[in-house]
Amino acid sequence: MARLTRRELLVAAGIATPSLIVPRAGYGAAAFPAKPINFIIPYAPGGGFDVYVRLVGPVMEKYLPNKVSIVPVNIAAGGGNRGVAQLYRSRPDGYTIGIINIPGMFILQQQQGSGAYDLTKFSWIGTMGEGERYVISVGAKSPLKSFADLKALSAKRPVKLSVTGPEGTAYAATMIGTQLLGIRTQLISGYKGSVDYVVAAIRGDSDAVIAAIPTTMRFVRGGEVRILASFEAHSSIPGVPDATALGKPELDQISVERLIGAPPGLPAPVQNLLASALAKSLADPAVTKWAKDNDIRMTPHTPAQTAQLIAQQRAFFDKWRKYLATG
Amino acid sequence: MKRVLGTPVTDYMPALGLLAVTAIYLVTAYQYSPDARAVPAGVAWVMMILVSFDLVSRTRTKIGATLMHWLNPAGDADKQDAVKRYPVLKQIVAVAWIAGFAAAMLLIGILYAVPLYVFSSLLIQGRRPLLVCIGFAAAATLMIWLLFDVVLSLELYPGILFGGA
Amino acid sequence: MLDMWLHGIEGLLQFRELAFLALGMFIGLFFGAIPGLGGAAALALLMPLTYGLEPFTALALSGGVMGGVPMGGSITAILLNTPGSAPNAATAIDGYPLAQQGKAGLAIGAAASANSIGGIIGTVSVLAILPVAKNIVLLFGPPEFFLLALLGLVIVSTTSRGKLLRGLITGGFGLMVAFIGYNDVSGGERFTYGIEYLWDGVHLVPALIGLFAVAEMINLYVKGGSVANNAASVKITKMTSGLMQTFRHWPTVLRGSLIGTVVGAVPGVGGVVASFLSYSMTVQAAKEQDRDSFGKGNIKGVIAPEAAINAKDCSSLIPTLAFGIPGGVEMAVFMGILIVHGMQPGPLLLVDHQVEIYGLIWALTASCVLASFTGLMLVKPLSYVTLLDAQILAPMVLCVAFAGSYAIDMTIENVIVTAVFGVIGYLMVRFDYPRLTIVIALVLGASAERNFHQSMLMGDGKWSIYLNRPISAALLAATIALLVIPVVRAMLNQAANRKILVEKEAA
Repeated sequence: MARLTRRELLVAAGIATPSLIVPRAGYGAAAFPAKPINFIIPYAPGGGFDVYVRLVGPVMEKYLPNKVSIVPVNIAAGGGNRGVAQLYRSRPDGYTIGIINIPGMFILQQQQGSGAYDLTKFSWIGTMGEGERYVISVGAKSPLKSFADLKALSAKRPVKLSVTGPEGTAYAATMIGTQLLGIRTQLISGYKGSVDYVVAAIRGDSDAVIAAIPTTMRFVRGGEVRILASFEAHSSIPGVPDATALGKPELDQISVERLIGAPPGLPAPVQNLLASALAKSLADPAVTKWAKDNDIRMTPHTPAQTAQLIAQQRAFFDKWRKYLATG
Repeated sequence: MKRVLGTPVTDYMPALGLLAVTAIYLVTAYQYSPDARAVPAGVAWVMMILVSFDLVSRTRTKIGATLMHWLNPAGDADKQDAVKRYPVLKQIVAVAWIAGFAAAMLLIGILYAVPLYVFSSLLIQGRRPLLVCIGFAAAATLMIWLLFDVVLSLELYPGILFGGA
Repeated sequence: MLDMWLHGIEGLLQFRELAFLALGMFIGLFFGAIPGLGGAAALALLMPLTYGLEPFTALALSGGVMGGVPMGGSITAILLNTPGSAPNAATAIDGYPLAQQGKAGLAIGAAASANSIGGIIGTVSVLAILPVAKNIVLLFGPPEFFLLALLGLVIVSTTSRGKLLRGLITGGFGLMVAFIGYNDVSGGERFTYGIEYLWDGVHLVPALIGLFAVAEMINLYVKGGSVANNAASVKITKMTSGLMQTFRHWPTVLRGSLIGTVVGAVPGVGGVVASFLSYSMTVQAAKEQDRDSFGKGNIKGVIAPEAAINAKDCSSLIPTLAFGIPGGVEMAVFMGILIVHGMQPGPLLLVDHQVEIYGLIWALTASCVLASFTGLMLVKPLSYVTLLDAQILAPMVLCVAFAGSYAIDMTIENVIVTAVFGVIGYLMVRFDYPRLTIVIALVLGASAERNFHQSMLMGDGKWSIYLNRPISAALLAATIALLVIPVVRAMLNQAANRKILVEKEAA
């Protein structure tokens, strides 16, 4: 640990008493967990990340020994910065874990130069399933019928794309995606949240929109939106060209990952215990049914895979650094 | 009380303060890109004009009275003299209690600040018997603790001195 | 469709559903009454409990909570000038002066009945428009939203009688504060001066707690005594007299409910806009001799916002359910509950889960009425709060206000915002600046700017975008009319006066 904060000293003082009685060696996986586990969500209640935690949390309790509860803690300040910083500074004892938005936190760090935490140093527990890939789509009433139509429009004039503010992950996805595909754009930016900017395309504010698959699929089912192309390496949507077909396999790397991490220095037994509880809960019928209904793939990642994933994402977004939060 | 152009000095204070704040705001705004500053700077320039009007309208001069009558008739001089005024010191003390309480929360945390503030406020400001002060302080603390800590299971802020971030 | 309505009612009329509805209502009432805590906190607290419930029961519970909150909020707004939840700030403007006159019972009674009737009218309108709700939501793009915000600002700033200049100043100050934080359109942060907390802007609820609750407690500290100036009059307040007031002022109730319904249906606009618009429009519509009494304890000033708040709660379900765009934090948390129960907000929700949705709407309405009755029962005991000695009352209220402000999102900076805005609010009262406009500017400022920029991007930088769309053109016309009509009226009056004067001289 880099340096102790006052908070940690206080917590340490509180915990010191029982740990004098129980020898340090006995403090391991066998005793863990002995009290409720705090699950930090660096956003306000009700958002996408919050829902994942509130949905998976109670299921995860089932797969932990000693019948402890998992308490969702929303720390929504500084665009998520404070929650992640607090997670990073917490005691690495397994009683504080959190959900982290990648590339959201990359963008935030790059923009604000925050040095309060190092995203690659967390003790990873896993992910909330597979990262969400993006698709490019238009409103049902749009004259654009295919990706070729979109390219043709781009040849004539810049394509208007609705998008969140530059701090949003959708903004980065849109910037990088259009750059890779060679589409000239004029962004209509500043929509709040991951749904509003899709609705903007339905309403006709913009020509097209690049959004995550689960969000888009909701509107596809309602007949409001038509998908022109998928950024997946292998399209999961029938009849839609994918990144391979478009000749830009790199598009598959644009995703929103929901990583579950603990402070650096988490003991391996505790890490494994939490990781296996998370993996089991993602395979639980309660979660898989919900995931299936919402076009989400709940494939679990091991701690090692998660660490690899973040390194990969770091490299990818470093390459496209200039398109993150360009204000 | 000291008067400038027929109006007590304190009556100019809010407008003068606002003018200073707006000026700082404007200077800051011009450090941003033209797109980012367009609306805020526009609002701030309008504010400079409006606040200046307010400042002038508060003077008991002919132009001041005219401005007041046309733009803010509720502030006409004949209506102002009827307004009840409290001693400045009393108002400063009241504000100081609020500031003190907020500062205490920040420094020593909510669970210590609440009893400390309720007790001292009742004792010093309210001049109540010691037992009453202790009773209310305990009741307030219990109420806050039960509601926020027990029912809502929120971690009440521990205070900078005790490890708050 | 009718059978879906009936299925919804049928589902609700089970012992378990009704029990959870009542439980939710009481929790909502209680949380609504405490500043800082509101529907969002109550729903977040209950969320784990709903995991074990059937979806329908979970919705009955949530509907109960959402129906109870506004009533709770109005009680503290009236008694202590402490809006329990943000929209009730408008209720405090006339409700608190009534409490000071010893008429707290009257005000609470009127608020309760306005609440119920507003809720019922809101329900009826929502049931009528739900089948076409999607289209209504799609009518409001950035140009419409910007002009709607502009219209709101103009309506409210022309409301404070005789204080146009100072109303504009507080509105401008509110806008300046609203621009603090992330710049949604072109990125980066503005006016944060290196403070991390300000990246997300100055939070509305802590600011409102400061402007109203803390400001009034400072005032009580200075003034001494108790809230009500006249102890004798407090004791004779009857709860039925307040109830009757609402029926006597039915145009106000109707106007408020309709404003609430319309505002609620516009995505991303919260209850504060509904209640403040309703209040302002009521003042504007009042007779000339009646207008001066607003802000000094006019019962219509209580009825108007209360009717709007509950009507808005119903219709704000439309953007939440049909598109998944929550109008506020409360709706965001509620969306979380829906998702956890396998009901993903979106165009298909209204098709796939009709029975549940109608059940929810009925639950919301039932809870509204139930909460009003409970509120009426409490009128008498609660009125005595206004007789408590200020030196005891103020510290107790401040403790809850500050702790509640912290609890909104567990950030201690909220407490600082509350304290700062408390002092600002006190100075505003002391130096006679109206508080109406600062609230509406705080609420609408950032989104107005964002939608302005978005409109210009949509229209390739041409202003004609505001004229080419029917709704935005109508909103623009309304805004101009609102600004011009008072001036014309004043000129006509003056001309008429002069004519009378001339005729008198001639005679």
